Amino acid sequence: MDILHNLVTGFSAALSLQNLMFCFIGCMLGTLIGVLPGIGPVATIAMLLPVTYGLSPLAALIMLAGIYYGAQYGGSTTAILVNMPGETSSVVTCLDGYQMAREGRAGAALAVAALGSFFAGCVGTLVVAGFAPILAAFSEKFTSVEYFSLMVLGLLSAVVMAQGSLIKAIAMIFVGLLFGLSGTDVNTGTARYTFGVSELFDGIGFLPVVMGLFGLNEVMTNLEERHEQRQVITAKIGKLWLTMQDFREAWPAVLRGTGLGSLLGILPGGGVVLASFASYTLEKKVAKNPLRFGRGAIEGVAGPESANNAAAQTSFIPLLTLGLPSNVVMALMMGAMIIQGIAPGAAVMDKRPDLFWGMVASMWIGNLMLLVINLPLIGMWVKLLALPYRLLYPCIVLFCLIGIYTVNNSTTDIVLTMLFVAFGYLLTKFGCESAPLVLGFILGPLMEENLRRSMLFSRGDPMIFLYRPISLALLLMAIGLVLLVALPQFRKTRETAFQE
Amino acid sequence: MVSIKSPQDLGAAITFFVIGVGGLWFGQEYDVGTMSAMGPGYMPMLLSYSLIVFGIGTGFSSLRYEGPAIATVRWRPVILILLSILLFALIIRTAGLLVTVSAVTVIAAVASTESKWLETIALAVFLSVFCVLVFIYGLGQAIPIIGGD
Repeated sequence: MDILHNLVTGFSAALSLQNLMFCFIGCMLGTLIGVLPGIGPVATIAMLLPVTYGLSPLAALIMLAGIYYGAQYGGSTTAILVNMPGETSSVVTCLDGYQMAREGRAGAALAVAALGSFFAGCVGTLVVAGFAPILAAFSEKFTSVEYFSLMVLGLLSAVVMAQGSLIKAIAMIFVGLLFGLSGTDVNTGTARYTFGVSELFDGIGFLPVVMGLFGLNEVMTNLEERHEQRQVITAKIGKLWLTMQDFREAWPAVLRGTGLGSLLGILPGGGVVLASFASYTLEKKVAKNPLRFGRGAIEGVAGPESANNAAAQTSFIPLLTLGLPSNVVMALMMGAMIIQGIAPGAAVMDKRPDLFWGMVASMWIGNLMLLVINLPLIGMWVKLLALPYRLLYPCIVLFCLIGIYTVNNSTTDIVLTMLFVAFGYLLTKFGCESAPLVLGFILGPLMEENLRRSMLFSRGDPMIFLYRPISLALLLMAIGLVLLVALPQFRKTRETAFQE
Repeated sequence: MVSIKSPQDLGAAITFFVIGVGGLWFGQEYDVGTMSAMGPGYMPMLLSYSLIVFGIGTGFSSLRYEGPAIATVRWRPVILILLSILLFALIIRTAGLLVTVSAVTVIAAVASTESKWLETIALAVFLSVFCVLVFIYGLGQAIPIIGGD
C-alpha cells in the first residue's frame, strides 16, 4: 500500500502543468539529440544545466532525466534508417534494424523499437519505485566508513565496465579525484590548487570539465575523423505496425531485454551501452537460428532497444538511493541536484518524497509522451537527419560556451574549458578514457570528507574499513571485480563484446 | 637501446607522472596532518604519489608491451576549435553577444574542411540573431547585445 500512496504523491507532483511541460521539453530534446549523430545526452544535459538554475528542483530533474531516456528512443531511429548510431547505445540496433529497413520493413523495426522501449520504460520505472526504498533503507545504517568503501566500489566497477586498459582507467580516477580537491578546503579554509585565481576558490567548475572533456572535445575529434556520407534511406518506411508474426518473434526478446537492462542499469558502472550489447549477445545465444542475426532479425532490434531504455531508468537507482553516480550522465544529474541544494542520497526520499516520487512518476509519463513523439512524428525526425554536421557543430560549440559563461558570467570558466578541451584531446590520443576522470572529479571532495571522518573516528587506524562487515563486503566486491577483469579469460570476452 | 613499444601508453604515463609531480609541487605548502587528523595536504599528497607510481608503472609497461600508435594529429580542427573558444573568452565582455556569436561561428566553421563560405555567413547571421532572442530575451541572461558593460 505504501508504494501506492507514494506513487499518488509522485503523480500529483509530476502532473502539474509546469512539470508536464518540462517533461515534454526534455523528451523532445532527448529525441532530437538522439536522432542527430554527433551530439549525445552528456553534452546536451551539460548545455542545459545553466538553464535549469531558475527552475524548481523537480522541474529541473524531470527535464534532464527526459533528455537521457528520450535520447535512447531517438537513437534507434537513426540506427534503423541511416545505419548510423544516433547514440552509442544504439550501435547494435544498426546491425539488424538497418537490414530490416532495406527489406522494406523499416516501419516494423521502428514500431518494435518504440513499443519495446515503452514497455521497458514502464517496467524500469516500477523497478525504481520498488527497489529504491529497499536500498535506501539499507543505506541508513551507513556511516562515513561504509560510504568511503561504497565509493571505492562504485569507482572501480565503473572502470571495469569501461573499455581499454584497466590501469590507465584507475589512474584516470585518481586524476579526477585530485582535480576535484581544487578549491577551498572546507575543514581548514586552506585554498588548494587555486594558483591565486579567485574564481578557483570554489573549486574547478563542473561544467568546464564536462563540456571540455565531452561536449566540445567530441566536436574536435568528430571533425578530425569524419568524412561522412550520410545516406538517408529513400525506401518507403512502410506501415508503422507489426504483423502477428513480428509480434510473436519480438515479445520474448522484449521481455528478456527489459530484464537484463533493468539489472545492468542498477549495477554501478553499468548503463545503457552495456545493456544493449549484452542483450544482443543474449538474443543471439538463445535464438534457434542465430544465422538470421545481422540479416534483419526483429529480435536483434527488440532486445537491445528494450534493454537500453530499461537501463536508462534503473541507472537512477544508485544515485537516488546512495548518492553514487554510476556513469557520466548520472554525475551530471548529481551536479544538477547539488546546485539545487539537494544532497543526493537516501535522505531525499524521506525529506522530499515529492521530489523522488515525482521524478519516478515523470519517467512513466515521459515514456508515454515519447511513444507519441516518436511514432507519428517519425517523418519530421527523418527530415532532421538531412542537416549536415558542418552546420550542426558550430551551434554545439556556441551553445556550450554561452551555457558555461552565463553560469557565473566568468571568462575564467571559458579559459578553463579551453584547457580541458586540450587536455581531453591529449587523453584521447593517449587512449585514456575521460569518464572515470569525471566520476572521480565529482566524488573527490566526498571521498576526502568520508575518509577524514573515518580516520578521526578510528583514531587513525585504517583497519576500520576491514573491521566493519558492510564495509568489508563492499571492498571485497571491489577487489573481486578488479581480479575478474585481470583474469585473462574474462578479458578476452570483454574485448570481443566491445568489438562486436 | 630502449624502444618504445606502446606510444599511447608512454604518453599516458608522462601525463600521469607530470600531474603527480605537479600535485606535489604546488601542494607542498599544504599541511599534511596525521592519519587521525588529516590536514588539507593529506589527500593531495596521497593522490599525487599514486599518480607518480601509475606513471612509472605505465611507462615501463609501454617499453615492454606492444600497443597502438598515437593517431596523427590534424591541426586544423584542433587549433581552430581551441581558438574559437579563446576568442569567445576574449571578446564577450567588450563586444557583446551579437558580434561574439558571429565571430566564433565563423572561426569554428573554418575548422571543418567541408564548410562553405556562403553557408557559414548565413549560419553566423542566423545563430547570432537566434542566440540574442533565446538567451537575452527568452532566458533573460545579462549579456549586452552589442558593446561592453
